[in-house]
Amino acid sequence: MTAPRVAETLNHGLHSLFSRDEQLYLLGEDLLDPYGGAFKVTKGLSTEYPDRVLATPLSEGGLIGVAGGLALCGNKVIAEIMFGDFAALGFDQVLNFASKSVSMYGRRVPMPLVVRCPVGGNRGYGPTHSQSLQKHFVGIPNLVLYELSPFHNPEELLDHALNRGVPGVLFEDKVLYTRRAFRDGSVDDTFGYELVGDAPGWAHVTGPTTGDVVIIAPGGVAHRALEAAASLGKDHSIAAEVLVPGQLYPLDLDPVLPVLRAAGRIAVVEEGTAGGTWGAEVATQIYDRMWSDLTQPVLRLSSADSIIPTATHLEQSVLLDAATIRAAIADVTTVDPGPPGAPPVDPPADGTPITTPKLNNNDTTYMLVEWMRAEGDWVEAQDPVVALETSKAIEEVLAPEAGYLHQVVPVGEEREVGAVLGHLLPSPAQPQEAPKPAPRDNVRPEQRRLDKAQRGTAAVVTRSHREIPAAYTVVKAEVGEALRRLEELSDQTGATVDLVDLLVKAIASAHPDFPLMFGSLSDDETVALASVPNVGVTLDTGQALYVPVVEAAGDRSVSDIADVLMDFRMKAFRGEFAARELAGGNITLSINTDPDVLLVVPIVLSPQVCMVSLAGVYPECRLDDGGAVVQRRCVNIGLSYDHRVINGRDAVQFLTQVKTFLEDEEALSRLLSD
Amino acid sequence: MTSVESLVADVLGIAAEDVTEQTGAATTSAWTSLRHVQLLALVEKTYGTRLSPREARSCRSVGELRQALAAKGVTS
Repeated sequence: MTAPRVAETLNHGLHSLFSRDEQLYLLGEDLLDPYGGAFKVTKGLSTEYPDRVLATPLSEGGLIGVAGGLALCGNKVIAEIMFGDFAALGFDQVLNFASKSVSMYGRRVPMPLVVRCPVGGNRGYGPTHSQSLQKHFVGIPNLVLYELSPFHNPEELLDHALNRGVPGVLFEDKVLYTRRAFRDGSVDDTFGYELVGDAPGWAHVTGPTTGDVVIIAPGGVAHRALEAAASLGKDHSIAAEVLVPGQLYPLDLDPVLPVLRAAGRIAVVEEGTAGGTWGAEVATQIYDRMWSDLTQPVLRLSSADSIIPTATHLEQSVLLDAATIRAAIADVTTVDPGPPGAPPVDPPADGTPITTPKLNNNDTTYMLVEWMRAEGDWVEAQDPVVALETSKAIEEVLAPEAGYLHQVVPVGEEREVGAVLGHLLPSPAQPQEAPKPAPRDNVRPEQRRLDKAQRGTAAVVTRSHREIPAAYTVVKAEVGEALRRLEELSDQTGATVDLVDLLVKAIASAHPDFPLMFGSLSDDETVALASVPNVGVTLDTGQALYVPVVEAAGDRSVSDIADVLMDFRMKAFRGEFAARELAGGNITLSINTDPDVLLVVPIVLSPQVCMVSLAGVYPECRLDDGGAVVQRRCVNIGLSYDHRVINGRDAVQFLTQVKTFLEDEEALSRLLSD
Repeated sequence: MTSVESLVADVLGIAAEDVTEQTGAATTSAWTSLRHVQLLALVEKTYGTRLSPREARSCRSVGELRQALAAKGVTS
């Protein structure tokens, strides 16, 4: 049976809603029979329900205002804007009346109002009848934004929106009206879908393979995203999935986070123009929720920065299309086929392959760093057999079953997930089949590509050295008393507090007297001063270097700082950092406290203007006032600073104050009692 | 189930028989702040549990670590 067109499902849904609810009204322009609305979506309604389907004058502000008033009086109301472009004329009623009425009268007032807005181009209607204005409605308190899609049942969508107690705007891409709705989980011979999450939920469209990239597309762009996904699979061997939300805003990412995390590459596409878009909001939430899972920035695609021409060929050159989506994703998505010239490896018929497992969501390839058993060795099932390096760690791969090991991939080479690394054979392989390193230039020494984490570090330090003329000063601080007091506090509270925690507090406490140290360069002549000291702290797990930020460190107790830093350390090992935890620092502390580390010269993280360093504690003997030899415990505290902003004298004064905070008993008491 | 002693021994690089309830930062130089966090991350993974920052700071010895796990119903 042929699926109905989307306009038919919408019309059927409206009829069903009107038959079920005598309090439901529909207001709009030219929607009475026999015309039945500009897109015939309301056809038949005015004949069946003449008292509740009301034609209005050509005033969007007026009709939305009346609709809001009806809703305020206990009715449910749908307001139809003939072309969504004219929602601009009713925007004041949406922004300042309907949405605010919910919560500005001292109690919560239901506002069951949905404004339907046909939007979008590709119909040759020209600049003022083709726009997609969704972005202008994003972020209004109490206002929920929906978008019609070929996957979501419009009756259920409207029913849901009318029963939430807050007003909503339903955007309906006009091109969808004549397309067939998708039903029963099938899109075509290649793609299927399922609805995930609570209503209205998301449509999750998948093809024969998944996992390379996810395209997030509102309903109006869904067909273009599907076409692009099909082409990416066919022409580029890129497995693309598509996610279509029924509700645009507020956005509920929870139901689709596993899908997004599994892919790590995400594109958000929309027909509106760039700048303050819904897609930017989606990207921001993705960064906040799954920063560490992303393998590249979220790709955002919009229509061209232009009015929408009427001439079809010019309109097509402006509006986002499937080819643009495909090309942009193909440009940034590489599915590694293995090293050039490497022959395909066919597993022996009588062997069990050892394949590259998916070890994380960050990487598409891993480097083989060690065969843990020799060629021809007998290996038991579940024995560690090969070590792979990810961007975060070295992971051991276990033998899937027992057998004689036959190595295929040599040490030092990268392979994608699923690639065959070796085989487990029932009898030892012939010696000549042992793997040889890939052909290399005989003259050049062996080369090794830096892992991803180190490449990221390289980019940061290179920028620092290229842009910042840094100087360095170091002071020695006697910390015996500080360490004793920290041990005392640790025993009192039953939880470790250490010198790093105290130093973060000491640095932050110097902020009032040394605001320049917490500044950031706006341009060559201007420093923006920070209102509160946010202290970044370097954490090196051995696999990755993080710089999470202790916000408002001056207002926190040392114990609180210790909790925050411990939380950061655990997150570093779990790989759980959110983007916001790694941003916003205005000074940084580099920690290198291993025994015998005397001096650490850090870089300066642009746009910050200095970085403090802490080396290891070391004993020192000196003569006391009576000439007797006494031992004390010291650390060297360094400061790298941007000499364009800070001079040596400032650096010494700043370090001296920090040193005093750690040495002076009264200052110590103040810091530890805050 | 892997014992806490063997996890501590693995992370600190010491013999399992040298691990006692008192083994901790105050008694063992190998128990550095980095090893402390490595140990707790391994404990979380091994026993399928999660420690709060304050709990992580309070595990200053093997005995205290065992107590923190017991409070979460984890037999170590």
